[in-house]
This record gives sequence, structure tokens and C-alpha cells, in this order.
Amino acid sequence: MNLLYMLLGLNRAGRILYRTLFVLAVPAGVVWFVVLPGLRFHDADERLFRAARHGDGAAVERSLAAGGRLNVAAPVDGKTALFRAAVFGHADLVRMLLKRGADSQARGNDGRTVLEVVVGARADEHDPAKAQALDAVISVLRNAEAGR
Amino acid sequence: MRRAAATVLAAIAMLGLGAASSCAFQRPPYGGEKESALVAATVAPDVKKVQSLLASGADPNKMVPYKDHYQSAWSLALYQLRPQHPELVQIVRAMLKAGANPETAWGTQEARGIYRQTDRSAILIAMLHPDDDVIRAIIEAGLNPRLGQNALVMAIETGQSNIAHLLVEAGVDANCHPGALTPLVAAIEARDVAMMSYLEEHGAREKP
Repeated sequence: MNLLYMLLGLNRAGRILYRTLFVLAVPAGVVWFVVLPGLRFHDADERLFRAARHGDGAAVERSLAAGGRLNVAAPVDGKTALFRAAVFGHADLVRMLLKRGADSQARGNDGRTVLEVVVGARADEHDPAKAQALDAVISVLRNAEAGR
Repeated sequence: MRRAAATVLAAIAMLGLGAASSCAFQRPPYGGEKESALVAATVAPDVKKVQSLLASGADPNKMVPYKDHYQSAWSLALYQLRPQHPELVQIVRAMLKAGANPETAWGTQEARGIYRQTDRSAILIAMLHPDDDVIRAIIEAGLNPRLGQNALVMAIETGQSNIAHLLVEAGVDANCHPGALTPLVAAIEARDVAMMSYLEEHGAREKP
């Protein structure tokens, strides 16, 4: 009976139990949602993002082999390596990342998916060569979506 | 006995508060007739007169009444900068040479109908209408590199590569994180490959 009262938070022990849980929940939440995502971003991930920005497929392979993770989010804007390859118009690399299992539905901190970001970038690109590269990325992403 | 201890504690606390407030709030600097003449010459804009007034000891950092509000000649000179107006740049350079503060400029700011006398970052005012010569002059006058971090992100967002290069070479950290964006993420959002590579060479990383 006493145990039941405690679990329902009705007696003194129960109140202490729930108060302790509440007090511990706040720092635990901060650590889980704020501190750990930053700490989880390793050197291999850093190299993966750099290779993705420059469209360097071989370097992407190397950093993945070294322990870089495909769907890890960047600490500043929450975007993945797929976003980095896509906005710079590296269609081949985008295809390769998708084939390896990169999540095409991942959203950055601004709440947009890769396709939305690239379509937005295409709309204000004036350089024809870059616009063509972005169009290629858009078609790769649309094909991946159709194949799902 | 307890009462005496409490009184002493209260006195110490008040002293501490006084010391803290005198550190946190700088007294606004006010000027006199010379500064009024300097403000008039600045908004005219009359480069020769500004130079002669500065030579005669007018302080550009001090505020005087101008159009119903207190403004310093230094703040007005920064706000009135526009492209293709070399005389406005000359005024800014003359003031920096005469001791204008390269970090902050005093003036009255309006926000939602409330007017306040505050000091704003000089380089951020200059970034409203960026000009290489002005930024170079502010850097040469001794800008604290920490205050250039926001300006660096702004310069990259608006595609002002020259200014971004100037700031990084002046010692502003390419791997800083002053606001929502880092310089690297700003370069990625602007899809500026040259700037991105430049920042990488100077140590910018995804995780700052």
C-alpha cells in the first residue's frame, strides 16, 4: 500500500521521488539535446563534410571508412553532408551519398529538406553553369524521391 | 551584534553594486561648441572644415544636440557613408586619425518610438554601406578583433569578399561563432566556393 502511494506521488517519499526526477530531468535534457550533439561531431565527420562541400568522392569514401557518419547533423545549422554536396551542385556525389543510405528527408535547423534548399538556391542562381549543376542535383533528388 | 553584521553586509553589497554599475554603464560623453561646429561640418559635408576643427581639438566621440537628439560627429559620419562618395570616407579617416574610437560610436538610437543614448559598434554601422577604405581605416586605428566577428559574417553573407579578407587578415577568427551563423556556414549559404576555401585555409570548421 505504501509503495503504491509512493509511486503515485501521494506520500512524502513519493513527493521526494518525483521532485528528484524533475530536478534531474532538466540537466539531463540539456546534456542530451545541447551538449552531446556538439560532442558527437568528430574529426572524421568534419572531413566528410569538407569532402562533400568540395565534391571530392574519393575523400568522402576515405572519411566514411575512417568512421565518418552519413546522417550526422552539422552543429551550427543542423544540416547533413548531403546538403553540403547538394548546394554546391555535386550531382554525382549526391547520387553516391543517397545510394549509401543518406536520408533525403532529413531537415536542417531551418526546417527545410535538401530538395527545398536546392530549389530555393536554384531560384536565385544567375550563373548558368552553376544553375545547370543545381538542376542536375534537383533531378537526382526527385528521382530518389520517386524511387522510394 | 547580528544587526551590526547585517548593516556591514548591506554596506558591502551596496559598494559592490556601485562598483559593478560603474563598470557596466559608461557615462555618455558630452561636448560643447567645438563639437557642435564639428557635427555641422560633418553633415554639410565639409571636409576642410572638419579637418580644421579636429586640428583645433574638437572631439568626434562627444555628443551634442543635433535635430532634437544627442549625436556624436563620429556616429553621424559613419551613418552617412554611401558608395561613390569619397568625401564622406575622407571625413571618417580624418576622425579616426584625430582619435575617434574604432570600437564604438555614441549617438541616440530610436527603437519602437523610444530614443536612447547608446554606443554602437563602429564597424557594424560602417557595414550598412560597406567600403573597403573605411574598414581598412577602422582596422588600422586598432579594432578589437572580437568586435569584427559579426562584421565578418555580414560581409560574407552580402558577398563583400574584399572586406572579409581584410577582417581575417586583421586577426578576426575565421572559426568564430558570433551569432546564428559561423563564417563558414555563411559562405555555404551564399554558395561562395572561393570564400569557403579561403576560410578553410584559415582554420574554419563545421564545429567551431
